[in-house]
Amino acid sequence: MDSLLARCCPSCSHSPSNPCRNFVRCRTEGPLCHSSPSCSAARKRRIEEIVSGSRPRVKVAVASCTIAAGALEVLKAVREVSKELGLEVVKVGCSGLCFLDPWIELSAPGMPPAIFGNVDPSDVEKIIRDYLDGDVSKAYAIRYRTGRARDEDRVPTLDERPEWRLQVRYVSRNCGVVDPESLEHYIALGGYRGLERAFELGPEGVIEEIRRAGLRGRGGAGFPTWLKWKLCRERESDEKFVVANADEGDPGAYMNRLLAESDPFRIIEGLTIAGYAVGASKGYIFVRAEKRLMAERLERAVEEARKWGLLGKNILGTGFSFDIEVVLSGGAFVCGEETALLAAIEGRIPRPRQRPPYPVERGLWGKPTVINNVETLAHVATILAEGWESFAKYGTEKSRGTKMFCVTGSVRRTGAYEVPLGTSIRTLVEVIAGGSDSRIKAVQVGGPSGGCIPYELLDLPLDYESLQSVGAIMGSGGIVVIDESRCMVDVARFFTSFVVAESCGKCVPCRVGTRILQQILDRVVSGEATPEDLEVLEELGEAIKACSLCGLGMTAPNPVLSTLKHFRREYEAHVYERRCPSKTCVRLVRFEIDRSRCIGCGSCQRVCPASAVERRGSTYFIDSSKCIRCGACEVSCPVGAVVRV
Amino acid sequence: MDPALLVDELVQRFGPKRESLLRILWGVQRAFGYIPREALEALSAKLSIPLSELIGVASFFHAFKLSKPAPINIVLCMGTACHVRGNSENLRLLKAMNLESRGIGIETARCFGCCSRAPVIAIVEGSGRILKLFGGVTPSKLRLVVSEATKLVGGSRG
Ligand SMILES: Cc1cc2nc3c(=O)[nH]c(=O)nc-3n(C[C@H](O)[C@H](O)[C@H](O)COP(=O)(O)O)c2cc1C
Ligand code: FES
Repeated sequence: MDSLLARCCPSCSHSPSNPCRNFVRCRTEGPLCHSSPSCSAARKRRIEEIVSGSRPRVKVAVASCTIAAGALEVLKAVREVSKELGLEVVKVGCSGLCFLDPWIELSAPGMPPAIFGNVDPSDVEKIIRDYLDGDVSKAYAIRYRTGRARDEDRVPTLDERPEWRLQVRYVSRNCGVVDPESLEHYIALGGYRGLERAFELGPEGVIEEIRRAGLRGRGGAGFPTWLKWKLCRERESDEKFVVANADEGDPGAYMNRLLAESDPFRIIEGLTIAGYAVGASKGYIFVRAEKRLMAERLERAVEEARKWGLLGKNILGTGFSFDIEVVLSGGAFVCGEETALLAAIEGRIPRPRQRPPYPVERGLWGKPTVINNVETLAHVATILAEGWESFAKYGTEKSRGTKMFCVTGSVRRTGAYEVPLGTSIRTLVEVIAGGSDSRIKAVQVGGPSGGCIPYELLDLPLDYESLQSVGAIMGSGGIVVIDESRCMVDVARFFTSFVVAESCGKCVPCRVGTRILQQILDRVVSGEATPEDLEVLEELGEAIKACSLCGLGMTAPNPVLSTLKHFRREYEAHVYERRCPSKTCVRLVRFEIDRSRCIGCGSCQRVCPASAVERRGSTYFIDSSKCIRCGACEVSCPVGAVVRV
Repeated sequence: MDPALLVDELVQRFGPKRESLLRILWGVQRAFGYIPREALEALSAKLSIPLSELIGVASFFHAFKLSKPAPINIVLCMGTACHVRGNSENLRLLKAMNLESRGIGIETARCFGCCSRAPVIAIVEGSGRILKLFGGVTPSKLRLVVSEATKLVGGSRG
């Protein structure tokens, strides 16, 4: 059998034009339409082949993150070796263990599947030959033990590694496991059972299932998904729409991209279920501009689903017709806001508008529209397939289930991790992501709309309400770890300049207010601010939150307000002592030459644009009255003798 | 290719309606590396949307450029991870080097999606194609990036 999706023998009558209700079960547990032991054995064998492989196999992680780390070169090397040795090569998405990029996974009958990280193309051949020889000693981890490899005990299994053991891979179960371009893989691993079950439950039953699961939106405010759907379902209209928000604008969060690049069919299945539940005939996936590969994989997945009758007219013979279009954004943070996103799809300038009316009342072209984050939708597909209990058993009373978080910044193991809500930030950052080589000062949660949480509060559980109580938000789940070397005022200023650049300009509090915040912060980092300025920051921040038109403005002051609250001393040092405690703010530091380290090469003098560097005997000296603090000398010094004081 | 001809073709492919606008703009941006004014003028006539409004849409989005980019650009990631790991300093230093005079543009981007290698800097061709990507760029590694870009400028001229 070439493909599970194809007909096993002429007795099978299913085709997209002659659809059958039990397509998915028929292909995986069947055949159901006719009885044939040989057909069903062939199907079982094919699934086994996909899951475990029938011959030695190399999986290469090919996603934006691994490509940036050199995965395409690794893939090329793998292909060459595999051709010679007769291995099967499978491109998979990314598992979220980004610190391993680029990585490959080897398996062979009887051998423990082994993952090798930070692979250099020139090592590929040796890794593969050694593995086939029964040697896994250089692996980062093995999936399970078989006792067949040499010194197997010295290599941990994935579950023995904290970054894996403490995760619950619910929605990300397929990431880094399946070929994201293959519908067959997805279905072999249980895909599209959710949609089949949705058809059995009926639209109201689906909404009830999601209500029981307790799923809340994974894209921002945590609105209950079932309620949004119910409100939309109840509206009378000749046409309705569902939209997947894949705009992922938080700079430094990439779990949506990872999910869509690694398991795109799950999102498409989720969106189809949403369409069925609310009675929509068309869905859109709105993808962020920079994320080209994500859009490509989603588009390909849509075509594939259409080809097999899982999108289009009369899906699986149920009478339900639904299709999806992938729209590539032009890139603007505010487009993630739902009303702006709708305007962008319609081809208008994406400026948010007043709500209410909410999109469930008046959405795309004035018709009722549901907008959900892509992770929310992927959860929907999983919940429908596995039953609401499988989801609701994780998490806390009010924040149920699991969520993906991206941990970046000053940590040892940057990655995208899925954990039950209610897990503490400390567990995520210090255990799973391995803590930092330097001392952690704070974590920033929720991107430009979020806030900074000081190290002392790291035991805080990750749930919607706890995060809000300290001035942060869940957002899409980006967590940036900040160490002692960074200045918190500078961090606040970074996010503030971000929202200044991204404000759509429609309402005054956001357009003008954030600019004034930025100007004050500029004064603080230059040592020119007054004590009153700090009060203005607070007052103005509150005013912007209260008066802005959309979520962008309403959350824009969070980075400033949360740092003012938790790191006021750092602000005060800039204002009262004209000093930046972490020596980040160049206007408040002096550059000096450490004579004990200086080798007298003179490169600092040559690069100084202000002629502030003078020769003094065998060493150099910086005249701080002439210095413009550009830092060029610091960079040019080959021995690190230019220091900040 | 003549921008107006391309616009004709794109409008035909995606349909003469407003909701095709993003797709059409992407088509133009990909073909030229930016969106020439003639393309917008042609589009305005085709879709009966005022030119001012089209410029409004095109300029609102970051991915669309309204002027021709330099042949070789150093693009710094200004995502959060890259900021806290030092790319803002790198940007300041690059700006002080007066690279424009050597034909090298300096631009910023928001997260290349490989935050584990922060701070990240890419060398990008005028068309938007990434030629080289550098991770973990310390100020001393910055020199490597600049010399690589300088070499590429030489190449693209020669
Ligand atoms: C400025 C701004 C940016 C946003 N960006 C995103 C985004 O990138 N992705 C997302 O899913 N939701 C984003 N949201 C939230 C959406 O408006 C919307 O609430 C969400 O997509 C609803 O989906 P959910 O209920 O599944 O979370 C953003 C909101 C605002 C105000
Ligand atoms: S923040 Fe720079 S690559 Fe993500």
